[in-house]
Amino acid sequence: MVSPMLFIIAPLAAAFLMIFINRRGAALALSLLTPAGLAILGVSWLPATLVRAQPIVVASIKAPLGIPLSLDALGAGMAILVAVSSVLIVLYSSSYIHRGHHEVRYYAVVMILLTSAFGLVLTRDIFNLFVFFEILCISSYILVSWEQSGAALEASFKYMVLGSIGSTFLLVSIALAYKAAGSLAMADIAVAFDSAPRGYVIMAAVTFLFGVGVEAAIFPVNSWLPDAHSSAPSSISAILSGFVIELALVVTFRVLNTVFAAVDVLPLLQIIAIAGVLVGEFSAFGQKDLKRMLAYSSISQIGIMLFALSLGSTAGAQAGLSHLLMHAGAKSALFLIAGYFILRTGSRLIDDYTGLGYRMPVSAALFGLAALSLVGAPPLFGFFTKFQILAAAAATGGGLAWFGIASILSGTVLEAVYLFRVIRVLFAQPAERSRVEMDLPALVSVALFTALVVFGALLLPSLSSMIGPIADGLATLH
Amino acid sequence: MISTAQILYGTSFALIIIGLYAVLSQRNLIRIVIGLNVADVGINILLVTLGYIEGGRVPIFAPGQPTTNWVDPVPAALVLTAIVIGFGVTALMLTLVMRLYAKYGTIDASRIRGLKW
Amino acid sequence: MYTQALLALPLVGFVVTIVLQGTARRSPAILKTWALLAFVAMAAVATLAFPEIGDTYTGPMVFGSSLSIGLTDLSWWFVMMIAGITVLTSFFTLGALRDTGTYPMYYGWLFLKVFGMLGLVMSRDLLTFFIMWEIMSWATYFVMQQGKEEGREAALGYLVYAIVAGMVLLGGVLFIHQSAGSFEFAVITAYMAKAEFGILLASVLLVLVPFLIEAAVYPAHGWLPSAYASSETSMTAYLSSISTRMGLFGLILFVFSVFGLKAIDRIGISAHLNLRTILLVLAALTAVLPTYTALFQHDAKRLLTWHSIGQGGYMLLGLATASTLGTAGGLMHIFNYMTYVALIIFSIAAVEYRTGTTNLNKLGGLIVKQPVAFLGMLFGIIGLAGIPPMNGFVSKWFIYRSLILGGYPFIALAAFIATVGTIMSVYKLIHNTFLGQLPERYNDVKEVGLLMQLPIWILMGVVFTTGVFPGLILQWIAKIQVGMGIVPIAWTLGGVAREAGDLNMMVVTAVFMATFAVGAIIFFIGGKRRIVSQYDNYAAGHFLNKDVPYNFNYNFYSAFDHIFEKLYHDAPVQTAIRNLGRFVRMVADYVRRFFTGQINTYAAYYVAAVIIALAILKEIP
Repeated sequence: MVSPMLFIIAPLAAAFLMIFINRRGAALALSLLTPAGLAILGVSWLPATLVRAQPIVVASIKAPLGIPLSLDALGAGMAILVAVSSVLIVLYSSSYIHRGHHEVRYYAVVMILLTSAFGLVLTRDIFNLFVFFEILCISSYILVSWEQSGAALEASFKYMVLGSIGSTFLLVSIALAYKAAGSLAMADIAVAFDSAPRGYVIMAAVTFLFGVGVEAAIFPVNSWLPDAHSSAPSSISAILSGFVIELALVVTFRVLNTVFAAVDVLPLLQIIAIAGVLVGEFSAFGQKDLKRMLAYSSISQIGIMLFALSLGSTAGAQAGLSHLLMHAGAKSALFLIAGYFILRTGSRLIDDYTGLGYRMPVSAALFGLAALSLVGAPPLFGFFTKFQILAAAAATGGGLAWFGIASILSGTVLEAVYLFRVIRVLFAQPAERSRVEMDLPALVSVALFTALVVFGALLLPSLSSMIGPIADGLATLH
Repeated sequence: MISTAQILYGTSFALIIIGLYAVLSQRNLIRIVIGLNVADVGINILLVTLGYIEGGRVPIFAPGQPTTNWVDPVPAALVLTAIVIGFGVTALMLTLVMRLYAKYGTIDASRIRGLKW
Repeated sequence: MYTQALLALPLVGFVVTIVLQGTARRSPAILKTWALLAFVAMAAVATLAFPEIGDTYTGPMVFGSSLSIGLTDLSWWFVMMIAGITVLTSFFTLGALRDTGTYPMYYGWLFLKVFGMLGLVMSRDLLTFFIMWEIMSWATYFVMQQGKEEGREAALGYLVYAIVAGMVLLGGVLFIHQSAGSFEFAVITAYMAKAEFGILLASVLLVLVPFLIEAAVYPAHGWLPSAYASSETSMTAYLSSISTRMGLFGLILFVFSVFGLKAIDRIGISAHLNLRTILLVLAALTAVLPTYTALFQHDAKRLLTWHSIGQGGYMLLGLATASTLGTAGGLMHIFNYMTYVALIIFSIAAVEYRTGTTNLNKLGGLIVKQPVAFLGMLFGIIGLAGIPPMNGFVSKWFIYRSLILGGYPFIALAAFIATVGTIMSVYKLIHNTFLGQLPERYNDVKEVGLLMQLPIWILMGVVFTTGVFPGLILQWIAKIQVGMGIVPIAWTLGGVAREAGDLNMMVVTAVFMATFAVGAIIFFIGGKRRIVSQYDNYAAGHFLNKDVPYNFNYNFYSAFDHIFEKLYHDAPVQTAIRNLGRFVRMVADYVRRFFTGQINTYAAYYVAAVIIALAILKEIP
C-alpha cells in the first residue's frame, strides 16, 4: 500500500527535482502533478479515515522512539483542500509569475511550503510540529519577499521577526511539555498534563497558543499579516490567506483542544476571536489598497472561524470547518483576481480601478460573487456557513456567545460596505476601452475557486455525512 | 544551596527576557536580529537543562559502560535541530536586512515603515 | 405546481438575461422583448396559481428544516401587485429605456429582485423569509446601480441601511429560532403566545426594526430619496411603487400572523399606550415630515420619492390601528399608491424622455405638447392628494375614519396636516411641469410614442376604476383580513355599507362629475374668452416676453421653504444618523492605527498578549 508519508515526501522530492532539472516546463509539470496526485490520493483515503484514523509508521520505528504520524479524517480533509488549492494556484501562477525571474525556484519553494503544510496535519509529535512550523514559516518568508520590492522586503522582515518570537515561545512550550511528560508524542503529553499542576499547563498552553498562533494570525499576534499578505505576489497571498492561516489555525486549535485539554482555553479563544473580528473589519473599512483590505478581511475571517471552533460544541466545530472551506475558496479567488487588477492597471489603489469591470467583465463578475459569498449573501455558500456559525453560537448561549454574534453581525455590515465599494468602483463610468481579461489559465483557476463559493451550498448535504468525523479530529487525537 | 540546574534555568530565562527586551526596545534591525539570537540561545540552554542530570553520564552505548544514570539524549537532539533552524533563519534575516538597507538606505526600524495602518 | 413555477420563472429570466448580455448593445430589443415576455408569463402563472392558495411546498433541507413556500391570501395579493407592476414597467421600458447598452444588467437584476420579492411574500418559514429578504436587498442595490453615475453613491447609502436591517433581522431570526426551536411560522406563533415577556420583546424588536428600515419609516427614511431619485426613471417608478412596501409586507405578516396581534399587544402598559401606539406616532411623523420636505424639492423624481416615504406613513397608520377599517385602508393604500405613483412617474419619464430633464425649475407649459403625460399626471396627483373620484381618496378616507373611531384624534389631525402638504406639493409638480409658460427650447417637443403611452392609459384606467368601484379591491382585502385575524370589512362595489358610516364612491363620483359638469357648462356658455399667445400676459407688474418669462416656476414655495427650513435641514435624527456614520469612520481610523508599521510595537503586542492571556486563564476556573 502507498503510504500517506507521500504527502511529505512527494512535494519535497519534487522541489529538489525541479531545482535539479531547472526547466520551467518541468517545474510547472511537477508542481501541478504532485499536488494533483496527492489530492487524488487524499480523496481515495478519505473514506477509510472517516471510519478510523490511519497511523503511519516511519522507517519501521514505532512510537515512542519513532515520530508518530497519523492521517485522520480532519487531516485528510485539510490535505485535500491544500492540494486542490495549490493545483489551482500553480495553474494561476503559470501565467501570473514573470517568466525567467527565478521562476523554477518559486515553484520549488511552493512545493516546500506544501511539504510543511501536509506535515503539520499529519504529525502527532510536538517537536516535529515545530520543525514543520519552521519550514512553513521560512518558505512563507521567502515567498513574501519574492518581488524584492521595498514593501515586500519590509513585510517579510516583520513577518520573520514575529515568526521567530513565535518559535521561541513554541520551544518554551515544548520544553515545558517535555519536562512534564518525558516524551514528545502528543498523546503522552496529554496524559501527563492531566495530572500536572494547573499553572504549569496554563503556561505551556499560552506559549503554545501564541507560538503557533502567530502563523494562524490570531489576534493580537497577527500584525504581520496585513503587510505580508498584501506585499506578496498575489498567487502567494492566495496561498497564505487561502489555506496557510486556516491550516495553522486548525493545527493550533486541535493541539490546544486535545493536548492541553486540562486547561479550558475556550473562553480565552473566544475573546481573542471576537477582538480579531472587530479589529480586522474596522481596519479594513478605510483601506484604499485593495490587497491590504483583503488581508484585513482575512484577519476578521480567521476570527470568525476561531470563534466557531472555540464555541466548544460539535455544531460550532462543523460550522467553523465549513466556513474555512468557504473562506479558502472566496479569499483565494479575491486575491487572485486582485493580482490581475494590479497587473492590468499597475496600481494597488481601489480608486484606480474605476470602470475596470467593463474591461474585465468576467473577472469583475467573479470578484463580485466571491465578495458576496464572503459577506454571507444568500444563496451563496458564505451565507450558509456564516449562518451555521451564528446558529451554533446562539445554541451555546451565554453573554460571550451573544456578544460574539453581535460582533460578527456588525462586522458583516462593515465588510459589506467596503467590499461593495470595490464592486461599485469596478462598475463606475462605463469606459469604452479594450478588453484586458485575465489570461486563460488564471481565469480557469479563479473560476473554479468561485464555483466552490457559488455552488458550495449544494455540497452541504454531502458534506454533512463527512463533517462529523472530520470535526471530531478537533476534539480527539487520533 | 543552588543547584547547577537552577542556575541554568535562571540563565536561560534571563537570556530569553533579555533577547525579547532587545526586540522590543531596539530600533536597529541588526540589534533586533541579535536579540532574537540571544533568546534562541536561552531556549537552547533551557532545552539542554531539561535533560541534565546532576552527575549524569554521556548517553553512549559502549562495551563495558553501564547504561544507567544517563543524561536524557532527546533534548540534545532537539537543540541540534533548533540551532540549525536558528542558523538558517538568522542568515535569511541578515540577508533581508542587507536588502532593506539597499532599498531604504537605513536599518532604523522606525524609518522602515512603508507598510502601516 | 404553479407556485413553484412562479418562483422559478424570474430565476430562469435572470440566467437567460446573463446569456443574452452580448446582445444588449447591438440589438437591445431582444433583451427587452425577452424580459416583457417572461414577466407576462410570470403574471399569467401567478393568476393560475390562485387555486393553490393555502398549499405549502417544501424545498431542499437546510439546517435540519426544509425551505418552504406557499401562497396565502395576503401573499397572493402581493404577488399579483408585483406581477402587475413588473409587467407594466417592463412594457414601459420597451420605449423608455433608450440606452440598454449603458445599463447592461437592468433586466438581469430586475429579474433577481422580482425573484427575491416573490420568494419573500411566498415564504412559509423564517429561514426562507430571511434568505429571500437578503436576495431582494442586494438585488435592489444592483438594480439601483443601473442608473446615472451620481446615483450609484446614493445606492451605497441604501446598501448600508439594507445591510444593517438584514443583520438585525438575522439576529432576530437566530434569537427566535433559538427560543422557539423552529423556523416554522406555526411553531413560532404557538411559542410567542405564551413566551416570556423579555423574549417576546426582543424578538419583536429585532424583527420589526428591519421592516421599519426597509419601509423607510421615520427616522430610518434617510436613504430613500437619493437612492430612488437617482435610479433610472422607470426604475424609480418600480422602486417607489412596490419595493418599499416589502417592509410593510413583513410587518403585516409578522405582526398579524407570525407573532399574532395578541402577543404584540402584550408589549405596552395599557390598551392605549403600547407598541402599536409607538408605531402610530412613528407613522404620523413619517406622514407629516417627509411630505413637507417634498414641498421644497426642485426635482420631480426627488419630490415623489419623499411622498413614497410619506404615503408609507399613511399605510402604517391604517395598519397600526389594527381595526377592520384601518387595516383595510392600509392594505388598500398599498395598492392605490402603487398604481398612482407609477402613473405619475411614468408621466414624468415621458417628459424626461423628450426634454431630458426632471428639474422643476426648467420645465413648464408642456400641457400643449404632451397632453397624455399631463392627463396621466393629473389622474395620478388627484389620487395622491386623496381627492375623489380617484382611488387614493377611498383608502385615505378609511384611514382617517379608523383613526378617529379608534380614539386617536391627534394622529388623525397629523394625517390631515400631511394631506395639506401633499396637495400643495403635487400642485407644484403639475404646475411646474405642464402649466405656466412653455420655454422656447421645448417648442419641438412631441408626445411620446404609443409604447410608452399604453402603460399610462392603463394605469389611468385602474386609478379611476378602483376609485369609483373600490369594491373590486376590497373583496380581496376582506379575504386577507380573515387571514390576519381581523373582522373582514363589509364591502360593497362602491365602498362600505356599515362600519359607522357609508361610503359609496359611485354616488360620490356622480356628485363630483355633476359639479364638474356645472362648471364646464358655465365655462362654455358663459361667453367672453379669447385664446392668446403665452406672452400676451404680465406678472409682477412686468410684461412678459421670451427673455422675461413667467416667474412662478422658479423656486416655487421658496417663501415656505424659508419658514420651514429648520424643520428638515438640520433635523436632529438625521444629524444623529450622519454623526453615527462619521463616528464609525473615526473609530475605524483609530483602530487601524493599531498596526503601527513598527516591528518593536508588534513585538510588544506579542509579549503583552502572552501576559494578558496568562492573567485571563488564571482567572477562569
